[in-house]
This record gives sequence, structure tokens and C-alpha cells, in this order.
Amino acid sequence: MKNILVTGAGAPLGRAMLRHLRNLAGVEHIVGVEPTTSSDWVDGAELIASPRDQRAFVDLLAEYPIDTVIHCGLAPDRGGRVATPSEARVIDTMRLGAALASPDVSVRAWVIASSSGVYPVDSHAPLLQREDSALDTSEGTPAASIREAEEYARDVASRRPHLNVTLLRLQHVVGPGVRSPMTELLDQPVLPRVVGYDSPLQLLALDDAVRALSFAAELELAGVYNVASTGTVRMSEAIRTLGRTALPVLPFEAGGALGDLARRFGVPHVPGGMLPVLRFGHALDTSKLAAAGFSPEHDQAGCLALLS
Amino acid sequence: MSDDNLLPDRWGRSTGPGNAAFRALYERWFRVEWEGIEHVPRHGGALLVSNHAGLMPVDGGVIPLGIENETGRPVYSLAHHGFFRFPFVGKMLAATGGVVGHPDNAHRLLTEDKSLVLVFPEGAKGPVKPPRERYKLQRFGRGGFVETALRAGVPIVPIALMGTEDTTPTLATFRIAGQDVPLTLNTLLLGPLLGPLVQFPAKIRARVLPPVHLGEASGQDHYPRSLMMDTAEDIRGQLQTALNRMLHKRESVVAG
Repeated sequence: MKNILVTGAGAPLGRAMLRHLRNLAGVEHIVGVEPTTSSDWVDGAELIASPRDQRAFVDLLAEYPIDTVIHCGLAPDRGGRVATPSEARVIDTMRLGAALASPDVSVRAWVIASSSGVYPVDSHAPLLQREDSALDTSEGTPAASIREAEEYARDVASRRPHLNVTLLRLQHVVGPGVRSPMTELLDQPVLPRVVGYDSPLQLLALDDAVRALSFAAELELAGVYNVASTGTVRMSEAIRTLGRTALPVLPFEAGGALGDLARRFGVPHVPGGMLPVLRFGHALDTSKLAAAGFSPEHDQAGCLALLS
Repeated sequence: MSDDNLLPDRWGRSTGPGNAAFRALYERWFRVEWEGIEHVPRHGGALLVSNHAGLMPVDGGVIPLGIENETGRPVYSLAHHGFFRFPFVGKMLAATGGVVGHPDNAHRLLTEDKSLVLVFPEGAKGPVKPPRERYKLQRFGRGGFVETALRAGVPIVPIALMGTEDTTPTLATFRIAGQDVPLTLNTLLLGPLLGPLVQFPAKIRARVLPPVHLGEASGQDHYPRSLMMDTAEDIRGQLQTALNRMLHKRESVVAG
């Protein structure tokens, strides 16, 4: 792990990744790419716009040459239930994958920040999702986009046996600058408490996410791993821990324009896509990554502290 | 004393089945009596299987409360995930020890937590069977519960429950929109709203049978289907025999 390319470098996860790598011994060059950006130096790393085609990607990877790619650009600042990753980001993943298969490239490790949103959030799901649990099979949803990107990465892995491909399924990320339906839910001054439900939720501190990605890259772990900070937390506990007042609400969520309105007027609401999470819970079994030697530094209370 | 102050464990269990109202029902109304409680393992995981009956099945509460009373060990019951969709119902079910009936959940309870897990292999077929099937165990699915026990390497403990068919006796079943809907005596006498909620005071007797130890290594990827089916049938046979004997000895439905 000497010359590292980080995608999604304009978003909180990618930025935190750049900062983390800068302090790592043995790292020589760090390049950050972002779909739309002007070239810049950020936190000691070079930040450039994503190459426009596969050839340019190959040239970029061959230049230093890059040996490790940490792909934070798929679902850049989330994990968990994500909004549909933009077309540009999914296509970037595919372009990058195609470039990695080129013989001119000497990348050894491709670590992808995927999302726990690939698992179904429903009454029939198990308490803790394992890497081999059934995935959400819906079509045309955010889960489907992430699933396709994962399938594509596995494809690249099978075509390039010397390339180590790691998929890290990140749980709902919280930390400085991160904005997602989960942070929108928990960042309200008065928290909504859906009456009749109180299921386990799970968060991932931004630094734990970054450390896990770096850990996977360094050890060249191959395969799929769940990532979450220690433990689970119920909404009732989160309300107590955050020390905020709660408003009982009926099981409805406010997505789209309604969500915007609720946000503007500060009405306690459940952001779009979060109702199933509150009704049925959403938690990962992280024992596989733990067995590989990784332990998160934060527990769920620590994650909540990042919000307040 | 407030049960609301109990922190739920990771399964959402806080109070267990023993709230005051259900305890009174258990002790005064059904006057539940246990035999063979020594067959319930005092430590380690075990899969408890029983016959399932009644329109509002009380067996799901009677067995966990009884075992907790007699042995001090908590019991988790596998329940259909559909119940967890309803507000309050799912939460209450979880608080009393109900868990979504997913094989992965059962495995985790049996191996990581080393808990007692209750399952009704008849599933919904038990409560909705026609009156001529009284105290006749229905098909045990595909023997999935045996696979769960095999994978976890735990014994299966059969529990025969008598009286639960008489708390809401079925008079007839009708097929409505593809579903078997039982008409119970309670509904006939008390109407469709109150009927399903009221249980007759039949004496409930529970008999725990000796644990069935499965002589296979745990944690295998596959187990022979025939072994699962044979074991399931064997356990069903043991429960049926025990039930027949208990019914033979019974003098009256109310006095037992």
C-alpha cells in the first residue's frame, strides 16, 4: 500500500479517507478523484476530476503506478439505506472496474465501500444480517443499484485473479459532514418515535468506516465483509442517550417534497426510506471482519455522540 | 415495580411471558400442571417442540411461563414474521420472548446465547384444523426444525400439551378466500369480537418427554433430508402417543 487512489474524494467518507491515509506510514502518493471537481490539493493529497473514459483511467492508474484503489465513490457518504447512487457514480465504478482489468495496470487491491442497503429491511429478515444472508431482490431501487455494482466488482475479481477485491458493506455512517436519511432522522431537535415499534438500529462512526477500509486494503482481504460500530441501539435508547424530547408519530414517513417541507418547518418526521428501518430494525453481524482482526473504536453511544 | 424499566435484550425481550394478568390466567384459569420438567436441560441450548392449538393460541405463552417458573430459564419462541408487522403486537411479542422465525435467529439463540427455543412445527396448520382432527398432530412441515437442531448441535425436547384444544374448541372450519377459518364455540356464544379473546377454563397439562439427542456433527452444510424427515416423524409420533395417553387418563375437560 504505497500509491493509493481514493474515489469519491469530494464527499465526507472520501475526505476522511484521504486524511487517514496521509498519516499512515509507508504511503507515498495519494490521489483523490471525484466526478465533478477542479484539480486541487486537499489535506496533502492531489484531488482531480474522475477521468472521462476508461483509457484515461488506465493512464492515471499506470502513472505512479497505483497499487491500491479505495473506492468510496459508490455511495459516498452513507452506508445503510442509501438514496439511489447517481448514474455517474455507478458508471464510474464500472469504468474503474474495466480499467483495473487492463494489463497495463498493477493495482493489487480494490477495496469498495458498499452499503448494508443490499440487505432487505423487512419483518422476515433475521435480527443480524450476515454476509451470506439473502439480499434485497427488489428492482429499480437503491438496493438494486448497489447490488449491481457489487456483482460487477465480483465479475472483475473473477476475471483478474491477481487483483484482491474487497466489498465492505458499511452500516449507516455518522460523522462530521455526513448527511443521509439516518442523520436526518437523528439530527432533529425533537425526535420522532414511531408508536408501536422499537427495533434495533446500528450506526457506523466515520472513523471506524475509514479504519475498516484502510485495514482491508492493508491486509488485502478478499470477499465481502459487514462493517458497523459495536452493538445495536433502539430508537428509545437513542432518544435517551441524545437527551432530546421525543414526539410519538404514526408509522408514516415523509419523503420527497413532504420531507423537504417537514425539514424546513422543523416538524419531527421520519425521512423517506427510514420507516422500515424503524419498524423492523437493521443490524449487521460483524463477526467476520472481527475474526480477520478488526475492532471498531466506537460503540453506538459513541456514534450518537457524533451527532450531538 | 414497573416492567417498562427493564431494558430489552438484543431480541427485544424485557418482561418475558410472566406479566401479572397472564400469570393469573396460567395459575387460576388454566391451572397448568407440569410433568417431566426434569427433562428440560438446565444449561445449554435446546429446541423445544410442541403441539399447537387454539384460535388465539395460549400454548405460546403457557410453555415459556411454565418453564421459566419451573427451571428459571428464559424461553424464546419462534413466531411467524407477519405478527411483527403490526404496531404494538410485534413489540409486545418480542418483549415476552417472541422472535421472528428465521433459521438464522434460531441458530444464534441456540449457539451464541445457548438458550431454550420453542417452536411449533405444525405452524398455522395446528390452530386452523377441522374439529375431527382434535388432538391429532398435523404435518411437521419439511422437518426444518430438525435441521435447526442438527446444525446447532442441540437436543430436541418434545412437550405434549393437553387442554389447549379445549380452551377454544373448533366446531367447524370454513374455507374463505383460500384460508381455513375455524368457527369456535367461543365465537358462537360470545360473538366475533369478544369470542376470539375469551378462553374456556380447560385444565392444561404439560408433559415434557426425554430429550432426543441427534447423533450427527453440528455445523455441517447439508444433512440428509431423509434423516430430517425421519426424526421429525419420530418426534411427531412420540408427541401423539403421549397426548393419547394423557387424554385417556383425563376425567373431565375442566378438572383434568
